[in-house]
Amino acid sequence: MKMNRIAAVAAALFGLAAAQSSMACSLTAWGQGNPPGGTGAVGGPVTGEPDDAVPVKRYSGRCGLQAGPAAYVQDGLPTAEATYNAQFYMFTAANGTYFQADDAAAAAQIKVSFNGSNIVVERSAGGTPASVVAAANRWYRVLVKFNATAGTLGYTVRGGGAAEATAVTGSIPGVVSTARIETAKLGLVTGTGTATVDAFESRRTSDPTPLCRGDANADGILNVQDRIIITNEALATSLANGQPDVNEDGIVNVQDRIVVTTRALNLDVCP
Amino acid sequence: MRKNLLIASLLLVCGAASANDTLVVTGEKAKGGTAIALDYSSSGSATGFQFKIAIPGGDKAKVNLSGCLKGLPATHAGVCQMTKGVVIGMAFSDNNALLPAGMLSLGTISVSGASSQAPTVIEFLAADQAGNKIATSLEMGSDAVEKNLGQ
Repeated sequence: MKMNRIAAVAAALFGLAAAQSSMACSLTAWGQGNPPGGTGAVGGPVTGEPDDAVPVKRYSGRCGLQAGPAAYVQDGLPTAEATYNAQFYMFTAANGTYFQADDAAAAAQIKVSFNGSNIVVERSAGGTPASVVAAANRWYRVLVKFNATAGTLGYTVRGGGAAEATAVTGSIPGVVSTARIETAKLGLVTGTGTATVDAFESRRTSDPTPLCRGDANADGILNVQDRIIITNEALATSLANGQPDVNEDGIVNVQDRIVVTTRALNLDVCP
Repeated sequence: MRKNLLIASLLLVCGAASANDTLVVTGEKAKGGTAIALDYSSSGSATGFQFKIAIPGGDKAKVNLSGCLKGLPATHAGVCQMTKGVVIGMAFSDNNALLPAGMLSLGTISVSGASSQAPTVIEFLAADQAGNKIATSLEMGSDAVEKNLGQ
């Protein structure tokens, strides 16, 4: 999944762009803005599709990013950003840091990690981390909102099939007014296991919109079409181009079909 | 008998115009409510469909959905539910089998309540095996049920 936004700070992503079916996933969108080492991929992260010979989970679209220890993609497009909002989806299979945003001195200003039972959001050294209870092996949406002017690092975490309204939000104080974001890293920056991430998007001021659980054809509406497309993926007939893993457990199967039917019958609307 | 003749003539008319999948909704005012018959003219290219009918009186109306989508073929299952004053019906197949071509008598919905307004069909769509919408049309068999697809 790749999403470049006008007015984005660093919206480089892995994955294929618009044309959905036969294009290979790639990491070429990363590495812009002269990141450390001048490379977009560090440590050999892999992008791919769920039906590749070596399957790669994804949250939405067709491609996801899989990373072992110290493997990640990075981008240097953020340029002395005093405000920086980043959203991504992480599959909580590895323990470690999935996302990190550094300043010009390569010091972490934002860290998002999973420790086996919590997603932990941290600001630069000295701050008190925020912990949000999270189950292992589930997809979670994480939104971080760095604001040096206000001196805060805001966060929103939701996942594991829970409704959007259950998102946990909070704010960590103490961000130094002179702190700036210069580099974004996504993958398994530090830690053990294999991390999977998807759908990274960042902006300077506004918040990226959450993706819609169950909108398997990405038309913004939950209806019988999504159920049909999820059925096709569950039967290994074809991959969905939208978000078919409605219960966010990393597997597309009959459970997702049931949940999307319920969502459609309840007239749930996409964010 | 009269209803069957009406549906047959409606389908002859719409069949002559196109090969669309067509939902025929026929309302009949009964004492204290409306009985709605649902029929479906299938081109054989849809695997699932969905409709929404707004019920006057909203959640306060009494709606009997026990006969809704009971007439689907064995390859398909259907579910009808009342949510926020709207009856939502969905028909689908476990393996995305196609609905057989021809006329399907889907079932009935009965609505009772104090409102004198007619139930209104506000959505109808059908999709092929890839999940793409296919051409559809909606025919009203009487004025006891109205349609407003722009809602």
